[in-house]
Amino acid sequence: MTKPTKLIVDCSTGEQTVVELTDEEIAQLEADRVAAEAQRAEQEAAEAAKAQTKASALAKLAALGLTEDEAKAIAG
Amino acid sequence: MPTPTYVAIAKTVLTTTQSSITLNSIPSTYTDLLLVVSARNDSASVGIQNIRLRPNNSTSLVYSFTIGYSSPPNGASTNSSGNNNINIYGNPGGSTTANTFGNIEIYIPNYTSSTNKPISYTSVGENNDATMTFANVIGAGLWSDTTTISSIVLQSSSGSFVSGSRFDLYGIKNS
Repeated sequence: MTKPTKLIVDCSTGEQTVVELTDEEIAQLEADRVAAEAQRAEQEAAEAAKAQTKASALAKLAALGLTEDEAKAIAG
Repeated sequence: MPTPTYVAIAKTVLTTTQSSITLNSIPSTYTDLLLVVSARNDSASVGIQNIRLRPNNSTSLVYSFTIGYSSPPNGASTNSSGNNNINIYGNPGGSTTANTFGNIEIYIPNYTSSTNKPISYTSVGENNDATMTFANVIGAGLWSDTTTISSIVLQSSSGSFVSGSRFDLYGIKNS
């Protein structure tokens, strides 16, 4: 199986070299991806919870007789 | 005639996919660095991903950052610390408009100073879909390290950078 590669640019000479990742670098890459995915999932869950809370608050305000615009003005 | 202060240090346009780009041997003769990126990744079912930026390829847990981003119909923000990189959003994947590239400008002032290094950026990762989260991002971060920056590693957080992705590094002098 072909290993992923990285491009190294030497800014002093302009030379560009494509190098295969080492096993250690591949492991780091994988660990980073897992961590990023977990962080992203956590962020999306937090946003979904926030949206749900806002929708619930708007529904309760509507039940009190506020128009949608009035409720949104309060909820922001 | 003003003295030229904005100098191209390196330019690379990918002709094959690459998981990361390393800009080595950055001269220490400038005051600030500006990195201009036009990138896309080859991951199939993802939206706007980030690019992991690591000065001197440091993976120490000394990075922190805050971003403000589009989260239609509103905006949102997030803050993170104790990371091993700074997340630079603006790297679109397979669920964004086909064949479009994100545009990012990254500014690193005083990169040779013996103080911690602030890093700021703006990005537009998707210019055809106003419903895409992270389509527009402003971010600021800190690399808590006092070493001079002599190299920068940019790694796609998902998949690899596709052919056509471009990375330009400029040096800016204050005189």
